[in-house]
Order: sequence, then structure tokens, then C-alpha cells
Amino acid sequence: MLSSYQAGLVADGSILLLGALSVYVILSTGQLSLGNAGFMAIGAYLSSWLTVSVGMPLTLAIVISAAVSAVFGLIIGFPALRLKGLYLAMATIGFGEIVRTFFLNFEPTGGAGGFSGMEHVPLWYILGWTVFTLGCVMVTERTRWWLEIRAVNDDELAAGLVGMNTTVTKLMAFMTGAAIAAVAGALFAHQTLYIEPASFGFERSTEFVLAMILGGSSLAAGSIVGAALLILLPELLRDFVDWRIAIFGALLVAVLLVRRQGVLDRNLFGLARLWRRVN
Amino acid sequence: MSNVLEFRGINQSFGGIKALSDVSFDLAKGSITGAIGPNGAGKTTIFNVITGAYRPDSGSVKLNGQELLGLAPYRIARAGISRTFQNIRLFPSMTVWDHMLLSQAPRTPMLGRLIPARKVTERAEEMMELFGITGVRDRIAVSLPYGVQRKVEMARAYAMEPQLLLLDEPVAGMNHDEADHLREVLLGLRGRGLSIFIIEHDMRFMMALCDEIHVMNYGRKIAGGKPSEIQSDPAVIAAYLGEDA
Repeated sequence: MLSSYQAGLVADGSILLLGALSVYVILSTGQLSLGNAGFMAIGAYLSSWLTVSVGMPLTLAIVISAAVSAVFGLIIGFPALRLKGLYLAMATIGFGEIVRTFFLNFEPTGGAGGFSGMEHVPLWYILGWTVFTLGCVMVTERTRWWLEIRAVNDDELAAGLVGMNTTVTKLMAFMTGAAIAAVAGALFAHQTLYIEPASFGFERSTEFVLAMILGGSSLAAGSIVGAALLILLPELLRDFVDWRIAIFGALLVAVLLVRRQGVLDRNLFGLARLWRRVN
Repeated sequence: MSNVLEFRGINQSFGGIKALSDVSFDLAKGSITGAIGPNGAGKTTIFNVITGAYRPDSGSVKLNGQELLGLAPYRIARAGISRTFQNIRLFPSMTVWDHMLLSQAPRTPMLGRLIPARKVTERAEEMMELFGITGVRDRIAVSLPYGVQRKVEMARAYAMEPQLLLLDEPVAGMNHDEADHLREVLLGLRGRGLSIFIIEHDMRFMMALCDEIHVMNYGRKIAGGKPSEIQSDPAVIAAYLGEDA
């Protein structure tokens, strides 16, 4: 059996993995979102309010929170269509800050004091949602839908000229990413049992992006590796005490220098397929 | 014979520069039509107007009687016009096979796009066979030689089941044998009822392929007719060899 310390790491890793996937789905259409902590906050606060104040079962609360967050994803997705690269990234930071500041001043959910009263969820429940979400994304990667998503990222103009409605594809990606981030937020809230606006700041958004880029931004499986590394490395480096964050940072830079595409990439899987065919 | 495309009175300017001045022509259904002319004459601009990349100042473009001006590029593509590019635009992350599947997706209903139906994979195989790229099926398309990339781009365009295929300099980067093979392929497509509109500098290739040729110079159409008529047209000779010739 896992100790409660180990179980905590697995839960943190799962939630981080969901966050990384939420960025991954959006980035797959060429849009970088640095505001997914905002969607996470919506999921955390809304689901907590639904379970604590309304008395709703958690699973239903998560589904509703994800749907509401997806609507926000749609709202953010529209202006995002007109922005590219750095400008889009900055706009999404702005969105994340708006959400955080909203909850900071919104007294019904505790404002700066935070919100509590949630019931603790077992680890298997968190793992269940994570495996389910990861499975959905990985299955979708094998379909032609994903080819359309990649086409938008590769060359949006050419994608339009083969008959693809790129607007719909990009909006759908934003909605899906927002929904996944909300699931991560809901699970986070019911694992830590206390949420405050500071839990959903800019660092949280960058952590998601970091996990995904580190693991590999060209496939969902990369996020598993990235989330695991991001959770485990600081633990393994405990012997270095005060220097561990610096060493952790140096390792990150080293990985990105050696493998800019992240630990895993699509070709690595392609090589495995080639290997099977040769043998 | 009815027309697949009617391109009428198009004016297109960019900040004072007239790229197209009152250009009109028709494309007959099931024919191969060519556009020739010096660089900068406005040939590619015509393609960009037809596919919805540019909004002209005035005029009308009709596909089988349906007005195309004002439609988004993806709607024009779905209406039955597909194209290739002078500077090839393939999807950098995709294999040849991916291109074949993707270009058929917009005509499939949402759920049908999850797993390619047999009809889709069969057409993909057929496209690769037709353009002679079956052997490179699993290669990343942009890693292939230039001439092969052109074939992939044409196969992608034709996989969309267009009524009108626009080809922008398809034989650039091909040797004589490849160009001859491509001509056979295009004549075969015409035999299946496809209409083709083609921009090309290679006169030998064009004269032996086209049913009709339009000649552009400085944004104006200066001549149009059968290849034999074009060859002896004084305005065309002047445009190609200089006024003194």
C-alpha cells in the first residue's frame, strides 16, 4: 500500500497531468494558453460550491463545472482567434488574472479567506478521472479529428483550402481544454479540502505548460512523463536541501537544450513501429 | 457545352496597384484550360480570387451558377474547388497517408471522421496509385523531393472530389519524364469529367495539354483561344519576346 505521503504525490501528479493535458489540447491547434489556472479555478470553486452548499454528488458537480468552464473557454476562444503567438499568450494571462481577482473579491465563496467544507475524495477517484480523460485524448489522437487539429497548427491557410472550418476547430480545442482544466480544479479542491484564489495564480498555469513541454508537446503521452518528472524531481533532489530548486531548474534547461521537443515525441513512437516492422 | 466556372469583370487592386483589370473568362466543363503570361501578370491572383483568399473590388465568380464571391475559403473548397500552390503548402507534421485522409474529412459527417470508412481509405489508396506516390505512403510529405511533393499536393487536392482543380505551376521541379507522366494523368482526370485550370510556364507542356489558353500581361487578359491560335497571336508574341520582336 502507498503511504499517505506517496498517495499525495500520485494525486498531485494526476492533477498536474490533467492540467498539462488541458494546455496540450489547446496548443495542438497552435494556440498557447497561459491562463488555464483560470479555468481550473472555475472548476474548483464551482464544484466545491455545488457539493458543499447545494449538496450535489461530486461526479455530477464535476460534469457541470466542466460544462460551465467550457462555455468560458468559448468566450475566451473568440478573441483568441484574432491573436497569435505572444499576444495570445499575454491575453490568456490576463484572463487567468481576471478569474483569480474575481474570486479574491467574491465574498459568497470566501474571498481572500478561501473556501472549505469539501469531503475528501479517495485516490482511485482522482486516478479514475485522470485515466478516463487521458484515454479520451489518446483515442482522439488516433482519429481524423486529430488530423484536422494538426492541420490547423501546421498551416491554417492550407487547412481552410482543403475545406476545413478552422474557426470551429480552434474553438472546440479551447472549450475542451477549459473543461479538462476544470476537472483538474474540482479534483484539486476535493483533495486539498481548502481552496483560495492564490492556489490558481500564474505559477499554476506555467506549471501546466512546463509539464507538457518537458514531457513532449506533440503527443498526449508526453504529459504523463512531464507531470511525473515535475512531481518526482523535487522529491528526489531533497538531499540537496536549499539548492534543489536551482538544480531542478538546471535540469529543465538541460532537457530543453538536448531535446527541444520534450522527452517523448511522435517520432519516438514512429521508431517503435518501424522496429516492429523490421523484426 | 456548359461552363463550370464563370469569371466575369474582376478588378482587384492592392493599394493603388491594379493586379487584375476587368478580367473575364469562362472555363468549359470537362476541359483543361491554361493561364500563361510573364511573372507578375496576375495569374496567381486569379487563383486567389477564385479560392476566396482575396476579395476583389468588383466582378463575379460563379461555380456552376453559384456565386462564390464573399464565401469563406473553406466553403468554396467544399463547394468543389481545390488547388495546389506555386510554393507547395503541405502539412509539415503529416505523412503522405495523413494528407490523403485529411482532405476527405470535410465531406464526411462529424462522427464519420472518427475512424476512416472503407470508402475513404479506398479513395486514399486510389489517389496515391493515380499520382504514383504509393511507395512513400508513410513518409513525412515535406521530407520528399520537390517533384514528389507536388504530386502529393495534387493527390490531396483531387482526393477532395473537386469539380474544378486549380494547379499552380505543377511541373516546376519535375524532369521531362515526370512532366510527361503528369500530362497523361491530367488527361486521364479530364476523361473522368474533371475540369482543370492550370498556370504553367512550360510552353511545351501547356501546348500539348490544354484545350484553351488565356494569356495574361500586366493584370489584363491579352488573348485567349486554342493553343494553336495563341501561338500565332501577335500580342502574345510581343508580350513574351518584347515589343520589338
